[in-house]
Amino acid sequence: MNHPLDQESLAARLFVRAAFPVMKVPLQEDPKLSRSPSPEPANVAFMADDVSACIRFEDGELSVTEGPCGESDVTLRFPSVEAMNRLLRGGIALPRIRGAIRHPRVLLRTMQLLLRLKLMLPSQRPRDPFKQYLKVKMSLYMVTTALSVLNKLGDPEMQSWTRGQPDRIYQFTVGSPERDDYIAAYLRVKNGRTKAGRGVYTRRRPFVHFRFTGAEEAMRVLLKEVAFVESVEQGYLTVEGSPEYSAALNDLMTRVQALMT
Amino acid sequence: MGDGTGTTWTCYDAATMTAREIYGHVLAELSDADPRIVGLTADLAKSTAIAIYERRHPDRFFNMGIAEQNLMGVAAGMAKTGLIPFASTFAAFASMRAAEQVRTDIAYQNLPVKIIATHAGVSFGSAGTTHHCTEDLAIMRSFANMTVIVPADGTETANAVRAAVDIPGPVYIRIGRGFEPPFYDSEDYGFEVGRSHTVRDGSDVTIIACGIAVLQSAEAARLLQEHDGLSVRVLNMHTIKPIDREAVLNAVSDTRRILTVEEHNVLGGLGSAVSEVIVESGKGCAFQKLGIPDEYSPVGYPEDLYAHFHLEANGIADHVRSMLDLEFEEDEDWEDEV
Repeated sequence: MNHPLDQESLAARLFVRAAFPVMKVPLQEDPKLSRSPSPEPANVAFMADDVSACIRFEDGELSVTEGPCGESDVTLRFPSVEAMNRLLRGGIALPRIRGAIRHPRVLLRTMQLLLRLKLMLPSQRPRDPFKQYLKVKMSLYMVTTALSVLNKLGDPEMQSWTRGQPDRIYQFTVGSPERDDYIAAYLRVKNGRTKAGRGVYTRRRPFVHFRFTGAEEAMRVLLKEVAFVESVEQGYLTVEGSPEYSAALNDLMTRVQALMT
Repeated sequence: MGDGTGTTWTCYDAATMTAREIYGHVLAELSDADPRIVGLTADLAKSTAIAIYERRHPDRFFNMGIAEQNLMGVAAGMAKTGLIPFASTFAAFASMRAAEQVRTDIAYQNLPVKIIATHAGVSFGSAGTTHHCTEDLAIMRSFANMTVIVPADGTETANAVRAAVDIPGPVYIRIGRGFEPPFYDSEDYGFEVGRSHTVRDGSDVTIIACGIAVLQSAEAARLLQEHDGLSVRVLNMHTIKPIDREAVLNAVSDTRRILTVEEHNVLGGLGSAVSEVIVESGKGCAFQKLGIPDEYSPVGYPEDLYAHFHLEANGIADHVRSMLDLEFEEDEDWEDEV
């Protein structure tokens, strides 16, 4: 059994395991990043107290692992987890940076991606349809993963919710599957275990399917501009499946968002 | 209350017409408009309720006496002349005593004889094993050309009898002793031969039932929803042959757990038909059959026998619960996709 984490440590680990991997979305899909030259293969270490993460750039792609890098080319060391969280929540925090002179393009790409993560903040309300798409896709990827991580870290509330459930899929989709801007992510729950996945889970029908009409509508719901129930009434969102469990999941999502914003 | 056969029965709702009575009335109505329809029985006019038909169309009713083989042979001959015979007798006699005549005289020639088999399963209760019939679906399903229907209640029996007239080949309609509680409120729920009816939708597990098990499965699903928070799909698979493959395969992919429930030996009936569809598809799912085990039933009131074989809501619910922990697929990768 995991020891319960304090809220800041919990938030930091959610950032590392759920938010950092979402950098892949803008890296692959934002033309400003995908068309610019990739940095050389490199490891970037994030360190704050006992929380650390390693981002690996290689062949135009990135991977994220929790824990220290074996050998880091660039290191961002924060004075505390609170400081790292503050930066990731859109505030100001200055990490001590090592390796910037030898690997300026790696540091630049890292900063570009950290800035793209800000798109998920509630304060960001893009009008450009592509940015709306990015915001929604990143947010759904992040929140489904964060819920799964929360469960894996032993959060009592999350574990209590997942423990009693048979194999169930909580599916999120945005728009139409025939369109290029279709977004899909899911959370699988089975007897206390969880997995966040991208796309549509095809091995069984969703227990609850949240269908957002489009990115604009999904963004309004994610930003709490319309309440969950109201969003259903207004047609922004269709919820197929158990109303009780969908409401419970919505509450857990709200909790995750509160931790990370 | 007495049903006229000398045996004492318990009864759910004497005010509601039972499946066999509805059968008698519907057949009489159909005959008003269709002169091809004739009724036959083997000394069981009252017990199978075809006596209702006899009163309305005495000139088109034929009692063959206690001679079920003859019943089926005569029905086949009438069908050869262009008539649509409805032959009524107990399921045990229709499917076993007269099996050869049903196969060779009727099914082999693909003749439009409609066999109404009453008192099926263990619904004959105290009459004992000689009159129980837990093998008929296996037998009838294996006869080429035969359509096999197991209505959930009297209302569905009416739909099945109406539909049977238009089916060009032989049809076996399996009903109970007559006091089964009603399930459907009206006939307008979309009955179609070969297409199951989704009684209740769900995503955790699917119960596929026929006959009296439909009502009990629906009640089990309600219990599981209220007490266990489970989302249970219930399919009324009234047509055993041809079976609704699409609905079975949808259940495989949607819920990945299937329980079949039937008042029949677990070998050869609904469960076997569903399992054939699953296996032939090459898809995997957790699967269990609930019915009469491969043994002969004790003798007793039908309700007691249903409870004994777990063919009531609580027993079905317990089986569903036991299926939830079954592991059946390799998808045990719990690493988040990041």
